[in-house]
Amino acid sequence: MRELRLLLRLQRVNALRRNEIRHTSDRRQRRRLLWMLVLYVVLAAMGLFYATAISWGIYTAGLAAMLPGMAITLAAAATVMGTVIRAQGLLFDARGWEHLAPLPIHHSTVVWARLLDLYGSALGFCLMVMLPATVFYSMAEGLAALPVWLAIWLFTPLIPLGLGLVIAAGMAVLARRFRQRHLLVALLVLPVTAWLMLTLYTSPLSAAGGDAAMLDMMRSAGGAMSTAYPPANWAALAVQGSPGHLLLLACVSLGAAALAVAILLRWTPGQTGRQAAALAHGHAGRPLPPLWALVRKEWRRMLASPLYLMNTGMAVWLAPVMLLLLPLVKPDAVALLRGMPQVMSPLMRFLPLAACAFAGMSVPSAISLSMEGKNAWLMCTAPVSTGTLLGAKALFSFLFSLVPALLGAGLMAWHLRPGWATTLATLLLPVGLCAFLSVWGLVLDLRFARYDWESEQQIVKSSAQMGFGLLSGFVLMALMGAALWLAPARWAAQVAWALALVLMMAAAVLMRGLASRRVYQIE
Amino acid sequence: MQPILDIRGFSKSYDGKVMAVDNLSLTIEPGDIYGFIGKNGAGKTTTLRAAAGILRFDTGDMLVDGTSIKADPLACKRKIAYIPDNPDLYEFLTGRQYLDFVADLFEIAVDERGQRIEHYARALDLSDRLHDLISSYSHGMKQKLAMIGGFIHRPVLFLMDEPFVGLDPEAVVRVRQIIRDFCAQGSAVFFSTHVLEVAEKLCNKVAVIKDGRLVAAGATDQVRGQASLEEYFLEAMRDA
Repeated sequence: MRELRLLLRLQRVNALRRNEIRHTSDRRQRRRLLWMLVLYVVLAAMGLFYATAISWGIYTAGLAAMLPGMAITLAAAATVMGTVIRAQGLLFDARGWEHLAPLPIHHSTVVWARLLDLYGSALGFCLMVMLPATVFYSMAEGLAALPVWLAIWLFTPLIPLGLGLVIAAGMAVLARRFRQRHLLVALLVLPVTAWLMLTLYTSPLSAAGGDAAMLDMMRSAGGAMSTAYPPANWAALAVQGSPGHLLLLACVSLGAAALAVAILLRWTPGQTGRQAAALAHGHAGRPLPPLWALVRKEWRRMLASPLYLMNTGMAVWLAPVMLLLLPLVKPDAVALLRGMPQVMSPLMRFLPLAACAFAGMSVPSAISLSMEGKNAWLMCTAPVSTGTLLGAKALFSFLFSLVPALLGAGLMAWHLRPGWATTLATLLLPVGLCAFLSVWGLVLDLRFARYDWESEQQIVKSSAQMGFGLLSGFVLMALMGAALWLAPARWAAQVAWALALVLMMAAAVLMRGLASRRVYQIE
Repeated sequence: MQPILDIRGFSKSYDGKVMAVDNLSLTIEPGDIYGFIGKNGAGKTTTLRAAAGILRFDTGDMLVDGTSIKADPLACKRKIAYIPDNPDLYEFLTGRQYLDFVADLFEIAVDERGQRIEHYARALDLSDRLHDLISSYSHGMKQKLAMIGGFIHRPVLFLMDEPFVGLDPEAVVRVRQIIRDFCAQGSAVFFSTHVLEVAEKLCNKVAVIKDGRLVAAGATDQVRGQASLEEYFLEAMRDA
């Protein structure tokens, strides 16, 4: 127990980088970390606000009974995804185990310490979703079920945590055999995630429309979630006063968690990394001009990092994959949608914005400089101009985001058949957004650059520039949405063209400013 | 003949507080194998990194083959090969991919790069491992790969920070020979080392630095006088 306590303390001492904030003598670094902390608080507040808004909406619609099921399903889905991503670095990365291997600590203690860390994070996130649901449910149904809710809070992360760990372990095993293992993992996870999201959100669409249809849709969505994830249904019944279902939830949750722990304890995660590294062989590739050699290097960098790939690649590819799967998951969805003029009219106005939705959530360039890490000296000594160095990063980020964005935009236009002006706007606006964010990301990374990181997590998941990059995407989307809303309906497409042009020009101006920097130096 | 490297009044501080190097001036001529010795934290790495274009510097200038690194850093970088003490290379690339990447940046023609890579990889006994990921390399292998990456573009100036640390004895002998060959053709090498025997045997010139200031610089025989370099160095650290 003592070793476990010490390991947990070690893992938590730098949570939210607070130990670095306390002890760094570099004022610029401290400022950067404090800004990041502020960003975390803002993002957590936004998440809580969003969850509260949804719970309030369901409560005011008189559907409070749906709250337990929906909250638990959403929390579980997010926990599975978060666990799969976090477990790669925390449990299946050999480097993280090398420091501890020579110490007199049992292997199982290290595993428990990491699992408890994962459980703690999962619980925190689940609470963000379930706390508002608990409050509004109690307002509607009284406080009698509160003790049951408290128990459900503790059990909710267990099944998805176990499932996420099993998936992550399977991916690590699969990954040992393939060179482009991270790409393979992304290709496996992406359609599954898209399918899940489509299943949850394509409820039966009523052609009648109106409030009654909306309520039916919400009930169907709630029903679909409970069907897709039975523990959500058990939890809903438990809060309604069924102790048997609470017991069932507890037993299955604890059983799933125990199974996942048993698998991990039998298998040494530390062995995976080195073996995978030794197995891989690469081809040299054909000679390229410096700019494209740098772009190729960026691509290889992305492929080599599951965190980087999943965090920046998953979001942008969700839209086109979902649109490709839509005819399989819900063949009549588009026809039903087209039969609802009260939905189609605003949808056509905002279609260009919808095409940008996922692209706005991905800014690979926001961390591309910092991702050089200890290799930054190679960029500093390379005989290429700053314009070429930064241009390559911006170009890679642009192409990486643009391909799925255009694919998604094209599929939207194909499904919904808007007029030529809206079609053009739907294709142009993502181009403008991707161009601007690719360069803006570099501006952010230059402002908050950090090269002395030890783990990619510090940059990919915990950096100020990544957070501000995402925030920038949201803010831009909101501003563009406002512009399209304020524009007269018949000119919406032209306004979208203008927005695209402004974004492209802004990108060009910013890039020119970056390229005019004398030399790329890190100190 | 103009110097390959002309350091003029170079000063560098960190955060405006710690003066890492103070008003250092030094010239390196074509053909020089110039050793740079000093205690830990004396300013050797700072000087080398500034010359390589990694660090900004507060005052002074550095000219590489007559070109100021402040005025035209790209022209200088085309002539320099920098080998750090800890060769942190792209672990997600294979050895060959890394060398091709360097060759692309330096725009080395396809047929030439193949020959050079093969030549130096064979010399340093790395041919069999070039198609493995760098993440599977030992420290010494990474060091060798970093050196090959420096050799293939035929630089005018080599800047090396503790180049022999981690190399096996055979590789040390081969690297020394390669360096001598380059210098015989007019290049120059400026490297830091803690191994004074190496500096004494290999270098025609040495510079000694203490607490950021140059204590001595010039021909090795002149600097050490009648004593060995080790004796001179220990004396210099006491007196300076």
